[in-house]
Amino acid sequence: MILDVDPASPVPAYEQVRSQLAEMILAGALPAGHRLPPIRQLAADLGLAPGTVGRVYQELEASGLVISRVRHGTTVAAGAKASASVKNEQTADAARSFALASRRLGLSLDDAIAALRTSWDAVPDSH
Amino acid sequence: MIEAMATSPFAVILMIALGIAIVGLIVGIAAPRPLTRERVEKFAERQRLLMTSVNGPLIVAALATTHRWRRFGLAAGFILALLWAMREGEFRIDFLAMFLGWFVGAIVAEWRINSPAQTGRRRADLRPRTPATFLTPYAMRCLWVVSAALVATGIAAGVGSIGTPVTRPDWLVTTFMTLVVAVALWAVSRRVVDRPRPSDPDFAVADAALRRNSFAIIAGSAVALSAWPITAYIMAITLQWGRPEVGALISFVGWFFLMVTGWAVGQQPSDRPAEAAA
Repeated sequence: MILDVDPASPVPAYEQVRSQLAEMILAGALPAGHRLPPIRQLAADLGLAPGTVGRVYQELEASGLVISRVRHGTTVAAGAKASASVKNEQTADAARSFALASRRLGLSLDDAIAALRTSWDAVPDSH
Repeated sequence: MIEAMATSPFAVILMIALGIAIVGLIVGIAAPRPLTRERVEKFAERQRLLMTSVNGPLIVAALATTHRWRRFGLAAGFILALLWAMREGEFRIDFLAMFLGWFVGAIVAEWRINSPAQTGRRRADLRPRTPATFLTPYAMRCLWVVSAALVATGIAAGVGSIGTPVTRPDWLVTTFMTLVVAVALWAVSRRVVDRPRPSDPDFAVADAALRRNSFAIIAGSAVALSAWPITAYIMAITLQWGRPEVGALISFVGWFFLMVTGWAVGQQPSDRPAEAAA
């Protein structure tokens, strides 16, 4: 269960963390009751300000994905896992974005699949 | 006697020479020196770590820091205790002071160890780190037992010392110093746990091994240091019962047992291979 932040990405670090955590929770990779790292620990590991990670946890709590309690930390909320239809919709959105980018670069279908295979092997397993 | 000696030129020269010798001794013991290969291999074997050309320098740097500061602390403890005894006109080697000095050096070393500088992508494990992440089950059991014994004897001695002018001040001093050491142990544990985890998998594996080693030392030190307050409380209890000779015997056995157990906890090999996700 690894979070990955790219400081060179145009996407703000806060959004990278929030979206990855939300995806993992909705996909069931982070089960209900799983305790997330303390804010200071996650912030130190990612090289972010504690306030940034705190904001991520607050927004995830506002979305109903996590629960924060004093002395118990932040845990994944029960019932947060996405339904199959939501997962399918998210997968279709990601595939469409990739297809559009490949078309713009003039790649063939085989080249696009080869690039996807390379990235699939390089990205760490988040389960 | 020392005050009388200090007035003579010979005594002044002797004191200066002694001071230079003491400084030289501290510098000599604490000076940076290369780690032996044997020591590094012993660490890798104990932590079940595969050393590579990538994580090797990190391991060597951290081990060199800890060894240097522990040596400095040991030397400082020995010398300060000796000077204190000389102030009272005695010549005494205080092993407790030496161990306390070594322990303070070990704590300072943990504060000085930093994670390697990181650039590029950052990765974080979503499993929280706690001291239990890095402690063996044996170390955890020892800590629980020792903590329970400390609390039980402390309460018993404290209750017995109420209204007793002889043992009450000692109980207060012992309890205060115990709390100071406990806070120091807690603070250094937090420092080791909260240190940023390296993103590079090779570094992360080595980092996990270093944290396990640190916690083995911290836990072993805690068990060994508990000998002082526990035996002090037992002595106070038996004194209140009018059986100080029983307290002396129990204290002697207790000191030996806790020191040996503390050493065993500190030297115990890791119960699992070092892995990136810890």
